[in-house]
Amino acid sequence: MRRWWQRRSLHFRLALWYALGGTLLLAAFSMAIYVFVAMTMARPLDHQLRQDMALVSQRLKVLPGRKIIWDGTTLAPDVASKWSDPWFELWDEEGHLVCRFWPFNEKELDQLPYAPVRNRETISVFSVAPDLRLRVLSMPYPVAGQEPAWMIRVLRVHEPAAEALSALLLIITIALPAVVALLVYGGYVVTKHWLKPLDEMVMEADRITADDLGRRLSVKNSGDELSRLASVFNVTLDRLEGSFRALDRFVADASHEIRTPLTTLRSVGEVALRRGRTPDEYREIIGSMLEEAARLQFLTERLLELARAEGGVKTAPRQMVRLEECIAECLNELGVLAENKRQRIVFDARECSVETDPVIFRQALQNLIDNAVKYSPADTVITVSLAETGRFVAVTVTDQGPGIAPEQRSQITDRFFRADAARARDQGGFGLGLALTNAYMRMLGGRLEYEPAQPLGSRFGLMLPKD
Amino acid sequence: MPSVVPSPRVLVVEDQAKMRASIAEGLQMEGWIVITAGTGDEAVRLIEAQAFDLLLLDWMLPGRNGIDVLRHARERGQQMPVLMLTARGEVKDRVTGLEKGADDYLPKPFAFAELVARCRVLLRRPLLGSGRVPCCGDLELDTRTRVAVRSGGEIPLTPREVDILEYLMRRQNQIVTREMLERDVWRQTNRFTSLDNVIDVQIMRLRRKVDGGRADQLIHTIRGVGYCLGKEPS
Repeated sequence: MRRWWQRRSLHFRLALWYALGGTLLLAAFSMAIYVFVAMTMARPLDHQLRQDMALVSQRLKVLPGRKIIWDGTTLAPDVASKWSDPWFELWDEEGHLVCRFWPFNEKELDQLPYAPVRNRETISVFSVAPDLRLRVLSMPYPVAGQEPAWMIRVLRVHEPAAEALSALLLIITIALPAVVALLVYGGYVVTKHWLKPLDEMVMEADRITADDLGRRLSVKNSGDELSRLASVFNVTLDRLEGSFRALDRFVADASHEIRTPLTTLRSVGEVALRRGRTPDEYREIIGSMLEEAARLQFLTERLLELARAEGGVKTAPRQMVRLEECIAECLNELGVLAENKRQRIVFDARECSVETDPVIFRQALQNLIDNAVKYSPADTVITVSLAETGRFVAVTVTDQGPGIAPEQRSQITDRFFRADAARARDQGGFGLGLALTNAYMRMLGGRLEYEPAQPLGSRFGLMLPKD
Repeated sequence: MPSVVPSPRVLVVEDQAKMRASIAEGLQMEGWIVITAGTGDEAVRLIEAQAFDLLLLDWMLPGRNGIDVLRHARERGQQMPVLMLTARGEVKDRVTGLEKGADDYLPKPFAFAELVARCRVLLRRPLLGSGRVPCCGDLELDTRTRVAVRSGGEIPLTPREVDILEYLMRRQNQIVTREMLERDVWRQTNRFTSLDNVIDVQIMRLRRKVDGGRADQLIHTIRGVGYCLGKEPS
């Protein structure tokens, strides 16, 4: 289940993030500033409060029986309204007000300061009237014979600091939404601008279809993520186009190969029926048709085998194989073909064991030998050798045939590849042998290699992995 | 010889009419009695009503498929040998077929000669018994010493040539396809890298040795099909 914002565009989500994140971050930042400024501005006032406290403590005495002495004289509560010394309050052990000396008429005030927290030094602010705020410092005040201690509190007007702070608060409340709005708008515009190439890529990619694979995304050389994305996408398209082309070519080649024997089959049959013939002639004609049918069957089987091998179903059972024995056996079997063309197959055997599938390996080798015999002229030598190179065991087949032209070398493993199409077809080949060999080698975890032989001919290598 | 043993009765179950007719005709030429069915249901009715010595069963049939027919027959205690025919040549299909009680399995397309050869094996009627010295006209092969003699003169043969000759001589006047030789003489199970050209060359060399310079040729090429050893090409 996708959340609602996951269904929105990237622009929208980024702008939303700017709005939410920006608001939260700015709010936290403003709050921090406000607290800091408030504390800094209150510092001189707090200092004055402490001076008041020292003065009061020095001049005030409380005698038993709640007698309050100020500079040696007893203080009566009625002097409070004419008080010009530092303002103070005394609170007894039960939290009741003992006395308060300040110049205000309590009846004109909305609210009076309430009892301080006991046994602790605290600074707090009271709003006593709409236009009057007081900052107070409270401390424990030990009085002989009273346990716990009384509390003493000095007070001063808080006014000047409060003015500046409310101005700050006003600035913050106005500025914050404006900044957030700018952030959202700017974020939306900027991301839209930066993500514009992405939109363009989407539109361009949308125009690329199977019929029109030649199109490519335009890549700006900025080296950022989007241009890298575009070039990676283009490489993928190259590969896709390549495999589409290969598929097209394969279909064209395969249908040509299938149509040829089918056409022969039909025309031989049709022509044969145009007039009466002797049984011997019929026998000959049917035989010729059967040959074409066999050719079709052979082609079908090879194609199926190729599809299976290229599908890479690695069911090949592996076992330790004595390669030199396997090769010798194969050469022994195919030797008659070479003998028939007065060719000689030379195998410089050496002991070599490798873990692989002997049946598939033999098929691969058989294809190479078959090709070598087929395409080399009479009275030549075909050399088979066995060597260990690094991680691989290389079985090479070198012939003295015409070799493969440099421009054709990259295509040798293509299906229906023939170096010399006309001649190969006469020899009964379909040009599937090397494609099959290549697929077999992949099944075995190895590969097929080609290099021209000196001075003339081809050298094919079957590279088998040692482990 | 055929007059002594009653002709085998073979039921051919194949939905393609052309294929069915050609199999039937081919097997009748072997002197067998052939009954045909085009659907699985028809086959089941026939199997319940009559006894057969051999069942040729196509896998893919309309309605009840070959495997169903086979299961049905086996459940009724029918023990006749069954040869499955199918266009599905995968090894796992083959295994499934054999597991369900088929005795042999022949993937399409097949050579007719091969079909006949397989049927013969299932009917336990090889043309030549396991006689130690098969002969054909003036050609004799001692399978123990592996020496071939024609008109009293020994023919020098390689071991592979002896194998081929023995295979052909045990199937005199029968067509032997390249597939059969490849499987039974070369013992290659995977036919995809074909040995066809090797086989052709070997046969050509064998023929040169056996028939070279003689008027009465024994080894014949049946064009588009295979080879045949006998006095006269069939």
